[in-house]
Amino acid sequence: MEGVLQYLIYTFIAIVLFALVTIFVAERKRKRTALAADASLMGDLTALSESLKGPEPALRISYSELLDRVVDRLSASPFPVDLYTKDAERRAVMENKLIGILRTPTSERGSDPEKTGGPTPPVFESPPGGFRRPGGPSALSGPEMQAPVVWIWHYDPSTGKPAWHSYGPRFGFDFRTQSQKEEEKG
Amino acid sequence: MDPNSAVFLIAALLFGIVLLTVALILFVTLGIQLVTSRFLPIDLSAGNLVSFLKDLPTSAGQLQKAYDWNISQWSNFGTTLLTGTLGFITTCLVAFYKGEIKHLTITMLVGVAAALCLYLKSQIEINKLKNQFMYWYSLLSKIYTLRTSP
Repeated sequence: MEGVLQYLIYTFIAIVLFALVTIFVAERKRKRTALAADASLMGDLTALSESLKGPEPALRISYSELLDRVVDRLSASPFPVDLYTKDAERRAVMENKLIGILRTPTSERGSDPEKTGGPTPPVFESPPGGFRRPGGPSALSGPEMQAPVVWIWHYDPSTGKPAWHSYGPRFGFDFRTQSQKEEEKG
Repeated sequence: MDPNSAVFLIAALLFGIVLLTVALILFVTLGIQLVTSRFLPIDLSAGNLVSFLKDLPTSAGQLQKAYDWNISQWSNFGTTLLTGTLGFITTCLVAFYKGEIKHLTITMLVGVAAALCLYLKSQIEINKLKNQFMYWYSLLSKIYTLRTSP
């Protein structure tokens, strides 16, 4: 009986102490791994953010393509969830980076070049005798070009890319000022 | 009660068997958990997080299920540990009445303190998992709303 009681008491203590030591060792190892994962993830997020600002305008991809790109790039990056749960500052930095990437303008989200960082509007040349369409092969003349034209940046389903499109009075745009309209009415 | 009576010895043996069983369950549970977490890490990647956005309602449900499972594991572990600790205290009391083990008080205090530390750790782990789930879910919801916002 004496041996059994001793055996039970010391076995229990040994198991509990072993569990405590193992858990705390594993915790320390996990912290080190989390710090390395944090650095790796931040690097990947920065690289991803830069790649989306590259020569190919971000406006040309759809939202699901954007998600696929992000998933591909980050699939090997472990997410140090322990670290972010504890550290609100790191969490804010990571969230801002990730949200910034996922807010990249896409073709499904409308396209205001001013807000989305798209190409700047074309520069109009005004040689004597008329306007020249930006990048156009020749100077245009006639009533169409004499009239004011509005250029709108929008997605073109035929090419699959956004581009500048011109619209003049024949599309229903009325360029008269309010005072001109009132004069004509009066 | 006479410490050398048959009833006392049978009771002590029964408590001992309970203690041993609980200790074995504790060891097996913890051992399997440690081995699987070392060789089969279940940490999610940041890519997983983004891929969850493709079907948030389903992903959120699965994520909640995974965290529920983890939390229940730690909760069971804590309950088992408390049961084992009660068995340990009982065995110590039996040994005390019989006066067979030297330095029994210190041994008992060390055992109870270690068990309480482990129990505390299990409760901390449960709270951490709850926080992690809330954090994951709120981040997913926050990012998901970007899909519809301009």
